[in-house]
Amino acid sequence: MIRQDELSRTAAARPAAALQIRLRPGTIGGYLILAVLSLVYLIPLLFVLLVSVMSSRQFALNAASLPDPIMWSNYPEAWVKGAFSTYFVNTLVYTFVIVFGTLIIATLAAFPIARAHVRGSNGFYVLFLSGILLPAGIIPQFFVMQQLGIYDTRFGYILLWLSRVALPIFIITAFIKSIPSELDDAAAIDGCSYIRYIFQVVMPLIQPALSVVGLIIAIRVWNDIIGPVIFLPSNSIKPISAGLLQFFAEFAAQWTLIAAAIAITASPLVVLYLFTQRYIIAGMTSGALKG
Amino acid sequence: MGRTAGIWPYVCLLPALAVFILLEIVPALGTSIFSLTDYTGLPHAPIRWVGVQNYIDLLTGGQTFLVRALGVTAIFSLLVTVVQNGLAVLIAWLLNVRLRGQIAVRALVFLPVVLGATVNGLTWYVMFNPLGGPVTWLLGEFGIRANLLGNAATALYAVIWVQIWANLGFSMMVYLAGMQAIPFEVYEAGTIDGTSPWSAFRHLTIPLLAPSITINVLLAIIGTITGFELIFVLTDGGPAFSSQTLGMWVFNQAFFSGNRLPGYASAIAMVQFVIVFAIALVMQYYLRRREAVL
Repeated sequence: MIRQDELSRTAAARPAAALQIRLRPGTIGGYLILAVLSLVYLIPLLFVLLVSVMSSRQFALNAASLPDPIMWSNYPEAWVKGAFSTYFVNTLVYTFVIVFGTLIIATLAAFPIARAHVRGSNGFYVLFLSGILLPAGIIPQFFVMQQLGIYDTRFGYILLWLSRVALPIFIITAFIKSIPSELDDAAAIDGCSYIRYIFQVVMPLIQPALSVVGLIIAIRVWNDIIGPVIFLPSNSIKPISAGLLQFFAEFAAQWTLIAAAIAITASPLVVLYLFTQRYIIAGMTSGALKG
Repeated sequence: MGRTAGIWPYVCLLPALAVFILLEIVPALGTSIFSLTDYTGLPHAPIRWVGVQNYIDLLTGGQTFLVRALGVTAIFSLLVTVVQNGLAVLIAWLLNVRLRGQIAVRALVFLPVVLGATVNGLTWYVMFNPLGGPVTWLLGEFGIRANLLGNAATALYAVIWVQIWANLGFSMMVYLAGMQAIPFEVYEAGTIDGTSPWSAFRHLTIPLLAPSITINVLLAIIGTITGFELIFVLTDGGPAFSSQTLGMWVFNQAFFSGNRLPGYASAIAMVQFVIVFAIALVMQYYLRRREAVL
């Protein structure tokens, strides 16, 4: 960032040189590639938005045209026909419970591991780490959930997501290790109880890490499709991604409604992305960067 | 504090540990056990040991399926890994120099990573749709009449296109972070020696980017062999199994085929696991050694 600012400042100081640089064939080629790239990403997204407000008649005649008349009614129609209010509430509940549930159990586990308060804390650390590398066993997961009677239940789906606690523990442990432990000893003298200490002292201290991890989990839950398709066959408890796919199957070929349904599903994510882009990108790529 | 806390640290560890072992570790290891049974997935049907019968079936009766799935997986994995990483490095390189509007382009290219497989898949389903989809219309202008997703000859390549489109932003961001970690002085030294931008890219950026390349390539290979979300949304492995990778096959065979056979599917999952494990080991060794040489 700093480097870029410096560059633009020197460029402003020497306009002639800057002009020269901008007109170099390499730079023109660079802009050309950026333009093509932008089109490749904008066209599909804009097309879905256009189709989402198009009349089905116009779509059948000439889809590659500006919508006329603008059919805002596609949105309420898709919302009602697809029972999106149910899916929306389901997803909000899943996202909320899973994000906070994961952050709590991950922090509770990460603190004693990071501070070596349990015997063999390193062993536990490696065990959790192995969860990042092991493949997900979807067939035994199905078996276990069926045996426990939590298959096709909200609780089962939430529990399944809570089990994906390895990466959060990995990140949070690293973060806790980076804060000095003197505070722990002071608290012990105070007689602050262990769990209360984690909730009232540790969690506020590691809040930046928790926000990023929470954000990433929220996006993953919102986008999960394989999980609900296998473990939540009942429509009434499906989250929105699976609801969208269900809608697509039921209203095949009604493209204008499908486009509206896609926009409905994507819009909360787009809004979230607009406001928290930096954290999302940093959080999602951090796993790769640490490796 | 730890010594005075008694059992509390263990109590804190317990919830995460319990749910993790029950639904992550045990299932991950359990696949190998189920691959030796005739598990049907029906709640009250007995599960019997069948030894290595599933593997024998896979190599004899199911061998055409296995060979086909391996072939599809190889094409999918190889093309996605090579094209996605090649493009991502080049674009990251472009975005790492001063071009106006590059911040917006970055954000735009990363957007599909956030939107997820269902939205990305259905967006392109609309684009590819044979009645009025822009891609169909564009190809029609060139005299090509094509239903890309509905044709066994083209479905896999249409899926590959969407897979790269969806994940390019992720690779690009990892490369960008890697490039920004390269000290500016390295390039300054290069400029004094009179290197051209291209040879600076080839001989300075790429070698210094080796750790990012290792992790990106590994993630792409593992992701394409095990992941199947986009394939599921776009084609469900069809038409005529032409886009059915190993991961897609496991899922269909276990839960959604005419005769659901999770036991048999577990054997396929084991084959998949062995392949991923072997590739990860070899890649790790090969790429890390290259890093060391460079």
